[in-house]
Amino acid sequence: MKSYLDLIPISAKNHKKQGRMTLFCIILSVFLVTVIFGMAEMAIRSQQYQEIKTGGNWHVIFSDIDQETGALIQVRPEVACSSWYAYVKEASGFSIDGRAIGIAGIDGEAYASMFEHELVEGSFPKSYNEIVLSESAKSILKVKLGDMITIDGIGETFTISGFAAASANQMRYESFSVLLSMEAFRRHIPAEDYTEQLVVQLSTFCNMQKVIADITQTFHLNEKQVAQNGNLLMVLGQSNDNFVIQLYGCAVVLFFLVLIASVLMITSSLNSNVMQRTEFFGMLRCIGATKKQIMSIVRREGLRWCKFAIPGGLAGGVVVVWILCAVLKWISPEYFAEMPVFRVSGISIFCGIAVGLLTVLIAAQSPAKKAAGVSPLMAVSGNAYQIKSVRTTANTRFFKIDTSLGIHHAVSNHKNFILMIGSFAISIILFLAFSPAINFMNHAINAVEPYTPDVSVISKDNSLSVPKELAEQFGDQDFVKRVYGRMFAYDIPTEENRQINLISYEEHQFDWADENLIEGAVEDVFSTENAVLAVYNSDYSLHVGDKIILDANGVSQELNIVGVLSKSPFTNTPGTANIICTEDTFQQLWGESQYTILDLQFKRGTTDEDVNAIREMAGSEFTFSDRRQSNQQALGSYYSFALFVYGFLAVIALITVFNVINSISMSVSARMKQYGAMRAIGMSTRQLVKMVTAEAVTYSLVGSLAGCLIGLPIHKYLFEHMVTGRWGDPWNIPISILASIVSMVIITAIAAVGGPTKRIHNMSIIDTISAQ
Amino acid sequence: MNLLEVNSIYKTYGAGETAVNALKDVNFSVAKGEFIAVVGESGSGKSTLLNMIGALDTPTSGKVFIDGKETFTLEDEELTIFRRRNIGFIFQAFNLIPELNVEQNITFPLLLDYKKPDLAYLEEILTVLNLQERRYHLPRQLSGGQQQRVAIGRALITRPMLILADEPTGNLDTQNSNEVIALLKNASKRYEQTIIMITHNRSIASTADRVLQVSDGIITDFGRCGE
Repeated sequence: MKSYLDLIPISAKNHKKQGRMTLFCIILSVFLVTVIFGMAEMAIRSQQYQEIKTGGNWHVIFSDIDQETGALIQVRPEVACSSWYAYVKEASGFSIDGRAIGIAGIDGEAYASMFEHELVEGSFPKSYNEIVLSESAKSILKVKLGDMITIDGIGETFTISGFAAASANQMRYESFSVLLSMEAFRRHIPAEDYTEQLVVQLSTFCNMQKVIADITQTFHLNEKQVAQNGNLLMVLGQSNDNFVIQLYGCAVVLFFLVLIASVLMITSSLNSNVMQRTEFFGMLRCIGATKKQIMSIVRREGLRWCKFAIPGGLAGGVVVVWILCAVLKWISPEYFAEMPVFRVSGISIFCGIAVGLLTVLIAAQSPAKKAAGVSPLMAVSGNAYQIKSVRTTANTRFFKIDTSLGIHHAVSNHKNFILMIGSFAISIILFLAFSPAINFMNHAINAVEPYTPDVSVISKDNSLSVPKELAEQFGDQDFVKRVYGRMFAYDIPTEENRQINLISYEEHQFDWADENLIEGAVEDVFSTENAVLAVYNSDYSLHVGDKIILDANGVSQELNIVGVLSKSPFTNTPGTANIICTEDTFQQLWGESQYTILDLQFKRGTTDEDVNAIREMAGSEFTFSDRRQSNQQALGSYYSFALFVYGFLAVIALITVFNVINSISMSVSARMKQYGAMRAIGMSTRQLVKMVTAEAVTYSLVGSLAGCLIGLPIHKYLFEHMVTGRWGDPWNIPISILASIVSMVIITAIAAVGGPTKRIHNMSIIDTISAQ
Repeated sequence: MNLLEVNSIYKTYGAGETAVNALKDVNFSVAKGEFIAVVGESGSGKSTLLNMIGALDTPTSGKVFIDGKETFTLEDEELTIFRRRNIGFIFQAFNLIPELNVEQNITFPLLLDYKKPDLAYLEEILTVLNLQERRYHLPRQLSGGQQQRVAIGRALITRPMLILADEPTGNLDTQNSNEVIALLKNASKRYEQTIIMITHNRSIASTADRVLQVSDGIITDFGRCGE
């Protein structure tokens, strides 16, 4: 040993158990921070990538500006890339093969920079007579790279130099657009048909809002001349939208809550650690250590634990984030294709290390002072510290001795009690604070419904023209999971001078509809003649038992309402009820057996070639709507956010469980000698368990109460800023969330008693008395 | 019948080269009401012997019979209850419960049985131990001698047949030591209890009815004092 501080590793070897508990607390804290920041970065990156992929990597568009102003903006140092851009809509009179098209023009360099992922085949047009088409045009026009096509309205023939990724809307509505170089656009499109805009990509290192404001002011632009890419700026943390700024504020609040949770957990552990070693510190003081030296020892001990705990916490956090990335890629491989699985988030590592070190240094202050304050007399008076710290008697009047001792153990040392309930309460507070994110997510991101198809084959004039045989052909394909069609009859007059839309469902659609049933029974449609379901409409209220009399092909027919649904996928028109029947009922009423629309859902792994095969089978007489891309986008957005929110709530729940178990274990370890003496006098194991359980329940009940009292206002604040302000949902006490986290804390506390008491039971009484 | 029978007790700690034989083939018996002093050098095995008798620790081999019951064949719960009701412990370090006052500490074994104390008997113990004015005080408010008296009271409250005292005067000054020994002897005679006490103090040992010496784990019965 070269200095007194070398005593630390030697002492640690003899107090491995206490050290392990503190180590565990630090690991948990670092793990928590690493996972949160790693998951947040993962979610933000995937959103960033998706925004750039779908909308392009541009930040602001300036319109109605002259060339000179544009040139001045372009040379600003904050402008990373820019281009003049123009667009004519589908209604502008340009078409290919009779299909109206939109045409856009942009510089090649800017296109490569801002729309990096768009070009999927070929190259950007280099000459005036080259064009890029949306990829959807391949199947619609049956064209390929190098083919020549004529654009009506321009009256010229162009060579297809490339294909760009089709947007979700283009896939869904079977449309496509054309891209020209800016020079070609100016040459071919009459100037009066368009206005050029300057699309700008700013440097990610600048304050974009400041730059945009500066440009607006310098060139005297008004609000209408400046359009920001709000979605992308939001995920870059550069938005000036009030709502988004509130979201950032909420994120800061949550960060500090996590920091407080970490400090509380570690302080509680270090405090308990010091309390158990008062004789040791007294002995050091006896020998001649100064108060400063004692404080150094405690602080150095904490930092020594960091040496092992921080890498452990970081490694655990990184692995969890990898697992979550892998899960996302498995759930939605197309959406998350570009997301790397084994990426290490620099910010999460930095924050994990910083929080680990900071929290240990902050948390060690109080126990260090306490240790330094231990009198040298402690070395000779054994458990005198514990005796001296008790100031009130246990109440044995209202409870039995074991219960009253347990409660007293919990509350007698005020500081320790506050630390313990604080660490219990913080888990509840964190859970409540993060749960508004679920409501936010459910509003902001639309998940895909179970009835959403991947592809639809639709009658072009909404008539009953899609043959049933086509459904059978589709169903025979291996990659098709499900085929379901609907027959529509619109605006049918009823005897009560009302109107209905009659829609047929098959069995899958009835199963899905069951979730929205508010009256009656879905299965009654199959068992009752002319039985139908009505969709709730405030203008045309129908209930079970009502009858609708209509004229179907000259025959008066009576429909019986056997069920009412709260909603359906179809639009509710005022005064017109949507009525759902079986295919047999529809056929019987209208004599028609063909569909208006056929929906298909595919199995995982279905390729574009498979989908093209379906398109070929459908032929060109129907509209082929490919919704896979929009479904993927919706699913991807939802899953990345859901995984972050639910994943984080799961992490909080896990940390709660570990913290409760660790706290109870530490509390038992601190009183080992006392428990040994009680056992020697005659306390049975059952009574010991009751005593420790009473202590654990006291911590968890009071901690839960404190957590609810503090957490509910925080939940309200965050809910009102994240949800009420945007969508108007009123705040309500989140009873189910509260019940689940509080019961988890209490159940875990009771269950946590088992381990330590079993340990004591397995030790001989003498070993318990002499335990340190 | 003897109250206590110790048959062939061995206690070995560790194994192999580092094995330590704390007790070797210990055999003796104690009649009811005897006051036994156990003497020996530090590390001789005195406390180990007391722990075996009180079933605080288990022997490597051997048997202990208290009032005809073989203690080490009892189930844990049964043994705990037996110890609570029939054996009183007095430790050198007092081992009082810090959050219970004097009265509660003394009646602790009864509280563990969920029984209410015999108030008259409790008063008697408090009087004998001179603790009436301290009955509601916490251990931190008592002197060492007073704390040890509380520990004695706790050992007496259930009227156990056997009291085991491990150096009860080890942390006390001479005056307090003499008072504590006198109290123990009085209680032993008054309540016909058997006391086995470890002591380093030869003058205290000389007041006992019998002296057992433990040396390197081997017990020697010196017989009655004065014989």
